[in-house]
Amino acid sequence: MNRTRFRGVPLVLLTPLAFACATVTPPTDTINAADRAIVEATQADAEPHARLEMHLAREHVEKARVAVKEERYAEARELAEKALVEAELAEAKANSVRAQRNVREIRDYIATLQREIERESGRSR
Amino acid sequence: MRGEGTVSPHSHPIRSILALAAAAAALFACATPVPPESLVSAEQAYGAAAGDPLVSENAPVVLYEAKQDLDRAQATWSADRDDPRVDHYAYLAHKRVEIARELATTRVSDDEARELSHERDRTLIEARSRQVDIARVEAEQARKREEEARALAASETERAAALEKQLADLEAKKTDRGMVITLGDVLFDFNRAELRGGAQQSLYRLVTFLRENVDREVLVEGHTDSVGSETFNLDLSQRRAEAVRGFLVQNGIDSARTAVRGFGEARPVSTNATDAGRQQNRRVEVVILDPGKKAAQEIGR
Repeated sequence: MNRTRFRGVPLVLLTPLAFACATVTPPTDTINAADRAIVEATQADAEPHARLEMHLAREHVEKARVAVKEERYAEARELAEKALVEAELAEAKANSVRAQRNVREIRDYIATLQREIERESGRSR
Repeated sequence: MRGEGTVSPHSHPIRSILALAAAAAALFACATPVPPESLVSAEQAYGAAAGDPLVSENAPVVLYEAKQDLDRAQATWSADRDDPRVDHYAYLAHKRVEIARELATTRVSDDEARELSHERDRTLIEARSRQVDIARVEAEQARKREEEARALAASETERAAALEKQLADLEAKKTDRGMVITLGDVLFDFNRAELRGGAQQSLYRLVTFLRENVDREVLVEGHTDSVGSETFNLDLSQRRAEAVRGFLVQNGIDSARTAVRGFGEARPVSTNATDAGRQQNRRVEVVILDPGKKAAQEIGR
């Protein structure tokens, strides 16, 4: 991700940096991605379907921000990554619940229609 | 016996391999530490999801991301057993497997919902068309009822018109007692009470009318001119009226619907001083009572 910044830098210098890569820059992109994922999950009404995941996502992303302030970038990145997957899972759970409920509702509606048809075919005969 | 015999020749090489493996395992046991619980658990979760076509077919991208996390976890662990990032990557892998499962469920449910919505539409159309059928039948029935009512109304109007025409044909005059038909003396020969042959024709109209209007009763009243004795005339008028009633009864009219009275010369309608006047006075009047009025009660008036 940030490797482009080191293009042209002699390999000897780059090698130790490669290991420290995650630690030297604040994980701004990942924190932003986690924030977006939380917003999206909230918009998908994930809260009632995935309270734990939403809670963890918010907690992790806040901790990530604190870690950035304290320049613990590696920890911040991990926290942001955790927040991101928790938010994504929350949204996925909400969508899944909704999709399954939709199927149930259509099934119920069809059953209602079929009962109606049976009743009416009894009436017309 | 037989079982032992078949096993023993093969068990030798297998046994030796197992023994070798056990020895190797014992040798490497110290050098190869057991992977941490988080990594084992993530590997199992990934393996199960990847082996489930439902997940691998419906959420391949997230599953691939999970695999990358898992690879990272394994690589990190291989490089440094104590690196805490092993747990972190294993955690990410685990969560992404869960996301993949939820996505797969969503995808499958969405597909199912799409299928079902077609079924729902078909069912809805069927339900509607049945409703339309029933509505059509009901509309048809309503239309028939209306037609029958209209036909009934028409027939009643027709009947009323027919009645009016019949009464007009009978040359009935409206009076406060009802419709009055005056049958002139041409019905009878001089001083006789038998109906002439030709007279019967004009009485048939009355018969027809009474057959078609069973709610009507009639008074048959005989009248004469002043020629001859009063007693004779009274008797003659009575007999002539009876003759008319007799004709009606012979033609199927219930005699209970009729009442007869002879008035003799008591109720002239014209002068008895001229031939023309006397001819008008010699008559039989048939009063067609309004519906509901009884002949037996009205005759005395």
